[in-house]
Amino acid sequence: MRKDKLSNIAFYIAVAVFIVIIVFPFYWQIITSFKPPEQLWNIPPEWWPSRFYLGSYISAFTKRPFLTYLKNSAIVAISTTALAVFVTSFAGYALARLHFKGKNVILALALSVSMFPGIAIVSPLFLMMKQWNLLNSYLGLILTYTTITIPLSMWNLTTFFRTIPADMEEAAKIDGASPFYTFVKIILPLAAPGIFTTAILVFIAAWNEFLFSLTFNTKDALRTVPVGIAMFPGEYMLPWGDISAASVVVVLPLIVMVLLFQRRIISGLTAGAVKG
Amino acid sequence: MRTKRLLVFLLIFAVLVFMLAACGSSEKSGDNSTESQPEEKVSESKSEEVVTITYARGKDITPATQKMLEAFEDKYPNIKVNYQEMPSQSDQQHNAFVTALSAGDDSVDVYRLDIIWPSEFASAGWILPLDDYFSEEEREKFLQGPIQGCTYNGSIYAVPLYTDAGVLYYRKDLIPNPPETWDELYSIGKKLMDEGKVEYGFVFQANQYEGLVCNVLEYIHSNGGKVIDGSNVVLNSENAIEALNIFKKMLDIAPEGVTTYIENDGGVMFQEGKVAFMRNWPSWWSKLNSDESAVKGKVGVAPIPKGPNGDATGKATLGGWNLAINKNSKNKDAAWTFIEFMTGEEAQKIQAIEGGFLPVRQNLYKDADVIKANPHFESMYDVLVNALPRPVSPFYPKISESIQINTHKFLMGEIDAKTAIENMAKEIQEILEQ
Amino acid sequence: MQKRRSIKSTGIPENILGYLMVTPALLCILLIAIFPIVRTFSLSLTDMKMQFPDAAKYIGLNNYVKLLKDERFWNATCNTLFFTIVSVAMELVIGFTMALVMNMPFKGRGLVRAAVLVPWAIPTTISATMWKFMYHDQFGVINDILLRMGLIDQYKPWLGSTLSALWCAIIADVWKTAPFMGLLLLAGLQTIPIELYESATVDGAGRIRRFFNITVPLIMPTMLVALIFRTLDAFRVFDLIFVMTGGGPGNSTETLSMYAYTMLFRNLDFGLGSAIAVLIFIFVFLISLIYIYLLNIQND
Repeated sequence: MRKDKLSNIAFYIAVAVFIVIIVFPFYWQIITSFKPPEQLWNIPPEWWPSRFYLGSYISAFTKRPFLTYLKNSAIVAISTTALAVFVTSFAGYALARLHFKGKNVILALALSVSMFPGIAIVSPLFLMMKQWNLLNSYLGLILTYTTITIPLSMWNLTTFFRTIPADMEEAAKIDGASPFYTFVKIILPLAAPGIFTTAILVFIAAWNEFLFSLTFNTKDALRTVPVGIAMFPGEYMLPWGDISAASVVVVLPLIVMVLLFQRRIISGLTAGAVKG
Repeated sequence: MRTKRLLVFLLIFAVLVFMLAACGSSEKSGDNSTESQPEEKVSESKSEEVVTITYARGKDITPATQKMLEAFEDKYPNIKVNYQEMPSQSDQQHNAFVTALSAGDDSVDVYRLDIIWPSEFASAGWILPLDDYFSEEEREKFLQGPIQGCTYNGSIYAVPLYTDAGVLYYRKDLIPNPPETWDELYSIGKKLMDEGKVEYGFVFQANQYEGLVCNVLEYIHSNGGKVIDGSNVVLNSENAIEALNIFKKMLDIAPEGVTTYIENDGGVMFQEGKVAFMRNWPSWWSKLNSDESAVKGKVGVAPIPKGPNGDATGKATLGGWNLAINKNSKNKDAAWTFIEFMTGEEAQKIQAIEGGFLPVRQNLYKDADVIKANPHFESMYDVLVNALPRPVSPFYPKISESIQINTHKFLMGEIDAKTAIENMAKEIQEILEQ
Repeated sequence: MQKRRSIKSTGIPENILGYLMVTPALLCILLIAIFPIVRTFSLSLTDMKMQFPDAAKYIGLNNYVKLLKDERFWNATCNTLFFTIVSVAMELVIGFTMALVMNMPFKGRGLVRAAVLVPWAIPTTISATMWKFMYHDQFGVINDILLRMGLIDQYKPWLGSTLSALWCAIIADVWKTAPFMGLLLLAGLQTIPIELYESATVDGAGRIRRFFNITVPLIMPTMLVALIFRTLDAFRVFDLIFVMTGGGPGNSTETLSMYAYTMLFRNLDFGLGSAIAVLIFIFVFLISLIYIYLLNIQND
């Protein structure tokens, strides 16, 4: 019994250490964002702000139109998520359940698109966006992000649809329902957790993207948050407090979202990644 | 089942329509975005013949740019300037500019270019030659180093906006007379370290990036070395090898991590009073003398020291930014009016007083208002006149890269000075010959 | 299979419906991804330099030949392989441990699961900046921690040494992605029926045997899928390196993507840069072939 208790305690200590390691960098970021300027560059670094200084947050919001960046990021990320999930849930279902030729080719194509280094397609894409008059618009980014997230979400949803038991569909089919009807009325509701997870993956990818956003949207009124953060340092100087504050502001919505939907994300992943 | 078939088609159709509509609405969304920016007022511009030009530059953390723009719009009410800020990292600007310009983009009229870009942009045909606008006579009123940096194949492609050159900051309170040679700097720095007055003798920029090129060229140029003469690579010389060894010696009195330092790292340490000497840009002056600085009032500025085989003075590396016109700009004349103003005396004074930027016009170094706001400018004039540009070539980035990699490998102890110089000379020769 | 065919009559033909349903996704891919990729391929066969776009001419496979002889290219390839293998291996081991822990019932399990998602949600550009600051040789908290623990006797420039810089990048990458790996593997673990373990216990199998005979084989497919996506990401690592070291010191952390970026956007050598991009693509393609082969063996 004593041994059990001891190993129990050891286990909890191990878990605690693990959580500390995981959360520490973020803790450090928050601490830095509250440090007054005179404390920022102390050696050795101090683990707690000498006083809670809000100046970094104030300048994060007043020196740059940070609210506009947040709004832009939200619009782009939400639209991307909606479009990508819409498009790939159709495709995913067809690839998982319907019988037609070339399915493997399509999956392979999607996978190989996701293999191409993003930096290599920036400049041809810029040309296209220019021709279509999509520079400095939300839509240009939304279309690009949708495309680059399609492979992951298509694979994810395809594997997810495969895990849904075939019985219900079979029953519907015997009742004379068309495959499409079956899809909308029976499969989609069952797939909600998987779709939700995919949506979150897409959202985070779109929220965090930097390179395309920097290149396509050069007007301040249309910039997204990751590029906005790159706007803080000066030519030769780094206002580290402002950068930390801005980063905390960007990361906070993500963390809140992740914590709120934690159960959903995990149950979605659980169902989605089961079968290769 | 007919209704269901219809439903299928409708839904698929809806998807396609959605996508098409999305594409089609782009123009509209573009318009919306311009409407959301009050300074453009496209509709108004036609009736009153107001021209709008777009000016792209890296973010200015000082109020200078804003004030200059206000002064411009006061003076030229029929030219509106749409100011497009870019991230301040010069690499990110380069990336965004190159992508846009190579696609023939015309959304930006005036670009602010780093001193190392004009030849690259000019050779690509992205920027307008300004010979007709910018007379020889006018050019003579400018500092000559930046003018050279803006000249490619005998034509001038950009107008200097402000300049920059490496300087030596030192602790006036500890060091009565700034050193004239690298050896003196080393021994003073070492002595102060040994006495415990400072933690480190010297900080500079030795991360593997563009700043390293600026630093190492100062050693080479100040010791009688040279990279390119005309179209010949003349880097491989005893002087250059000696210069590299002097550079490496400085690592002894620098923090161990200096090979990862950019401007900010050393600047902050100097500001905290931990270092005796610092090689940095003039713009740190105001920060070092601000209230949050531990060395306020104790900072002196001196020219870069020289090596044993150098000329009378050390040679700083020239930095700075310049204005150029997009070749596809639809408002070239308005763009020129803008450049003329920004580089004219009035705007240059605002820039120097409000932002502490070094003016490009020679006479401003004797201007009472400018000197009053920036007392250190007076001594800067000689530094700037002596400062040397980095090699001018459309393939400068590759040259820079070769210098960066070989110098850094040398500093890390992977190769010796002779090999480093030989590698650079060989690689630069190949780059120029291609 | 026969049954499916008979159902066709109840709507539009199943295969047509299938094509219609994948059309939007395919359209996006074709329009926005395939065209630029094809252009990159064709650029890689030219000596296009952005400074002189009109002087570009077709040079066949010369860029590739040049790269295969290029010491820097192989250095970047080695760095990339080292980064990929070490970081994915560490992610797998740590992720697996995390998954095993999270699969056990204990108080506060929800908290652990939530904490694990935090690093994964932070944009790489931000987390890389964060780590860079923590590694700093003067103001960095990592030096402070290690010094307090007595593991080092003075502050070290972690990013300034050719020996440690790549490891620093690997640690930052593992921190960010191991938790995600852990969650994916947890998902796999939860599908293993408990009865299997129970019957094995009855048969007298010990803990270790149960692990290797039941857990490992059953989690294999999930693991391979997770590994595919992680390997692909790790092999193309860019943001992290770009922010943390820019390829230094002495090019010891330059990866293939970083090299391609430098050639494309800094040097404007679009021919050579595109060729590097294509080679990255080929490497990655080969890697995924190996995985898919393994996956197929598993499924059979």
